[in-house]
Amino acid sequence: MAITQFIVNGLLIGALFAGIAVGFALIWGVVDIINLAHGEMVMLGGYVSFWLLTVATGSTDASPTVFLATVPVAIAVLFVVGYALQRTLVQRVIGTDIFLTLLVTFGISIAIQQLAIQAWTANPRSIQTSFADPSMTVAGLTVPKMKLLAFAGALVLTAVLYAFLQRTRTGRAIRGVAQNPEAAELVGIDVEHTRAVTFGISSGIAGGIGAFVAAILTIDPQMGLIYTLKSFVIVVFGGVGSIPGAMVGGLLLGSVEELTAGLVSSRWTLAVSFTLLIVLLVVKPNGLFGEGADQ
Amino acid sequence: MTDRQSRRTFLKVAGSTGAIGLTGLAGCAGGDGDGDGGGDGTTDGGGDSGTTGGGGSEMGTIKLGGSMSLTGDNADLGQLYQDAYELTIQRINDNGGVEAGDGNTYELDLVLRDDGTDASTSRSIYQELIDVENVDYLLGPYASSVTLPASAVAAQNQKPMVEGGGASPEIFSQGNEWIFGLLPTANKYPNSFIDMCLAQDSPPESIAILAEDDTFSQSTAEGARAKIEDSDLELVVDQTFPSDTSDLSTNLGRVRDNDADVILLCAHQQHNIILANQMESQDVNVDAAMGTVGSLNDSFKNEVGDNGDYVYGPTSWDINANFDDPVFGGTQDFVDAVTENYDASPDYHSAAGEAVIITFKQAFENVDELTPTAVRDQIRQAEFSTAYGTVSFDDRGIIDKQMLNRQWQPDPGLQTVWPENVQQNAPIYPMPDWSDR
Repeated sequence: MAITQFIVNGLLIGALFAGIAVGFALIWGVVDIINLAHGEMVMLGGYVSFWLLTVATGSTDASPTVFLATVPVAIAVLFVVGYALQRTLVQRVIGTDIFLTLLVTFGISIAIQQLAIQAWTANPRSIQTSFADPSMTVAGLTVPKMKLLAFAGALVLTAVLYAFLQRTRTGRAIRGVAQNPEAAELVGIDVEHTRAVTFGISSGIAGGIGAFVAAILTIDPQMGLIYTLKSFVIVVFGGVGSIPGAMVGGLLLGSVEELTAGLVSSRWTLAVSFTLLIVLLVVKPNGLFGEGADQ
Repeated sequence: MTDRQSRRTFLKVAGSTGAIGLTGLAGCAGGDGDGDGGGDGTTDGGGDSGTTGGGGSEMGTIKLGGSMSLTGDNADLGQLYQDAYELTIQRINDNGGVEAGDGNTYELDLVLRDDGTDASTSRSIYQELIDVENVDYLLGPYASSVTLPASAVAAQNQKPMVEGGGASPEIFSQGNEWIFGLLPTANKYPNSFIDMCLAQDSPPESIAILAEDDTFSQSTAEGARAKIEDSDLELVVDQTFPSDTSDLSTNLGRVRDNDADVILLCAHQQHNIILANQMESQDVNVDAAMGTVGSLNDSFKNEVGDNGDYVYGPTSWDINANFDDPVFGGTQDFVDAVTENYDASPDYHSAAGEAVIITFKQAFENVDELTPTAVRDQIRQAEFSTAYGTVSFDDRGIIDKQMLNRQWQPDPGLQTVWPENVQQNAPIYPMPDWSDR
């Protein structure tokens, strides 16, 4: 198979990784914690979309339009989940030892996983989207239409988030808290509320991507960890707090993984990704786009 | 936004996150299985010795003990074993118990504890059952990765273990004389499928193997490679992927580019779902595709819908079979009893669970004295019929049984298609291209 096809496969899946990592980077940059439960937000978003379709239509087989209608719901539900998590649990450990924040979010991750298993069993689920012709061929390259839709969806979500942060009052407040929470508080910004909104937005974006994951791959209660780890790698690639960096990092990771799978073997993808992570941590710890990279 | 992490803090965080993450990954990876589990908490029969009473008019008790995946990933499947154990033991006791070869009559008492599909927990449970509960006769757990260490406990303590949830050949290659398995070993899973393909009017010339990297799936792939080597088939794709892989696109691209006639997916249900969906979305057309575990479950078909049509899967038992059974009467009576009591149809896990109990029952009835060694020796040379089929074991303790092959067909649904002497319908081979569906 042509290298170009590997790269196309990588970019299609990499956009989803990027969309997830953007939220992870945002929480890291603004709330100043590593959210190890971020992958669970992806999982929950997938289940919201899955169950919404099941309840509303009696089936998980849906037209692309009907499926897309579930994405905003997944985003909204996960925004509420994220906001509530920040307000009730995460807020209590901000500013304490970094290990405590890691353990708290890791605990949240395990608790959500186990509750999901109890509620929905460990069986993998997926959403079926029906296209008259499920794939198209462009210049000899096979492009599944649902993957293309997911790719576009992930890019749109990321772009909307970027514009929101740049152009809205809340976005400016979020950036203010990220830069200097004390100063932000002095000028009247409700820092705790802003952090909770950030957590909610990040979880909402992850939930929206989770809906796309359910439509092109599978979802199950224990899927979250690998997405959290990939997000971590991407943020290290791109730089903490950098949304363009996370975007490029996600596309890069997807391409590297697919090239490794295609040219070597799938079993080497994780090894290659994490080796790159180690190299970057040593050589360029602030990432490719991280602020202060030259300091 | 500003990066407020110093280099030292950054490295500290990175290291901690990596350690926690990789620990979590390792934990997730430990749960692979080809067996099953299910239930909640402990089913404890009470009493404090493995075999009690039996003399005079008083009925004695024989304890059968084991661990099972009663919570966690495999709880659904573990439940099938627990249900089968309980139902069979209840039926035996209701019919007057076991008339053992030592001249006494015994009730059976089930002591089943939850291992959460964790090998270490399972080991501890078996040791405790032997040391504290004085259990002499062990029921195996679910999943090869759990059964292998559990069988070592049985061997160390010289207690016979009969299991219906572990199929890795490794379990039986340790020189362990105390383990008996009711599932054909994993390397046999693809045989019937390959035989079926080769028996068609236009047999395939090439085959692709996509295998998950867990113990069970690798054993399955090794069996397939050996089978392919003895045939005229050309192995054009042979790829192993990590269990965490959620996208098979690139590997399916290889299958298409190498023009493979047949796909054999050695993996569990999640990857069967991905395979069926991505074959459709990437327009990958082959003559036949089989998933080794999880492709025959209703939940697989529910998730993939029409994309699951024509997919094959192996099974060690056919719900439509009719074997004599010393407790239920026959296979269909067993099926009726399960359906009536549990509101669900049994599958091969249920039938294997029933056969585990029957294996011990017939051994108790045919030994002169009720000791672990005598029971083990009797099981080794016995041959008897159960709802699951005829049971007899080879020198390694593996049941002499071949897999059947079933296929999802659009109209009647799941059909047994191979071997020919038990087929309900002929296989639909080759499967139609996606554009013709």
